[in-house]
Amino acid sequence: MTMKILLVDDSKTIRRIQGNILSQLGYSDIKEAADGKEALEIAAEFKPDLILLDWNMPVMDGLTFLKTYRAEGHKTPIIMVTTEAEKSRVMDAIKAGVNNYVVKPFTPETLTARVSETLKRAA
Amino acid sequence: MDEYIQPLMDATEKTFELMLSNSVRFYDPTPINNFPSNAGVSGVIGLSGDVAGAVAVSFPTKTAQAVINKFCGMEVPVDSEDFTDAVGEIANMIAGATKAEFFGMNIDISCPTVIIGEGHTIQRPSGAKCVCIPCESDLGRFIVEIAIAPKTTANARLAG
Repeated sequence: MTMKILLVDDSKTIRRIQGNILSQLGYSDIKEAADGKEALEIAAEFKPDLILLDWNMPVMDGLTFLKTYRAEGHKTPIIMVTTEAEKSRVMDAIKAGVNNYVVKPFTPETLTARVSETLKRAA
Repeated sequence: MDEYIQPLMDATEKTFELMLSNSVRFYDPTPINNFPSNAGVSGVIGLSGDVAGAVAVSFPTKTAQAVINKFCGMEVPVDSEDFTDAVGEIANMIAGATKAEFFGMNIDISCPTVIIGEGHTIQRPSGAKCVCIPCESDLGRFIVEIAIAPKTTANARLAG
């Protein structure tokens, strides 16, 4: 079965960088959203197996998306990929149901490792 | 303002090393009110919460092109949306990593604002203290800056 991945970030550049890294790992069924609201709409239809989620976005931020998505009962693994590095913010995200965390700036190796361990844990 | 210098330098270094595989050399920080007039491209991130202020990164256009082409892994025209987006993301990473080192402070960062235009300046709010750090990488020279007004000052200004 093909792994479906949703990239949520208001920066097209970051979505492209993440997409390139994931393509090199062999993942090709990838969709993108530029904010939390768009992500909720796409996720409802796309039913992703993994979500990479930015925190600071216009319209709906990542934490609000996370809380809303979990409140709807979805258990899809979510990796927060964000500049928000403070312990209190990471704790907020964990409490809201995030599965893993990558702080920007990141190397391809870091993102690859987090994706692999998150999917392994979810399997 | 000295307490903001090292976090800003660390954040700039980290962003350039991890995202651009490039090391950064820093020159002496100076207090300034405006960017030097050779700025062609700037990315600005607002700070709010326990402080009011902004973090900015400012490049000559040629340096910005080199940085963004490397960041994106392809040629990106200066007048494209992709270029603006990438400059904003570089500024976002520097601002985010800077504020992460302000221990014990609750600070939110804004979405990026990008300014493109030869010789532009960015006016600081009156009362804000600034630190400007000239930087050099293999991709060219650039400037990072932080401007901070304590929240009490910002509130007083708003109330006044």
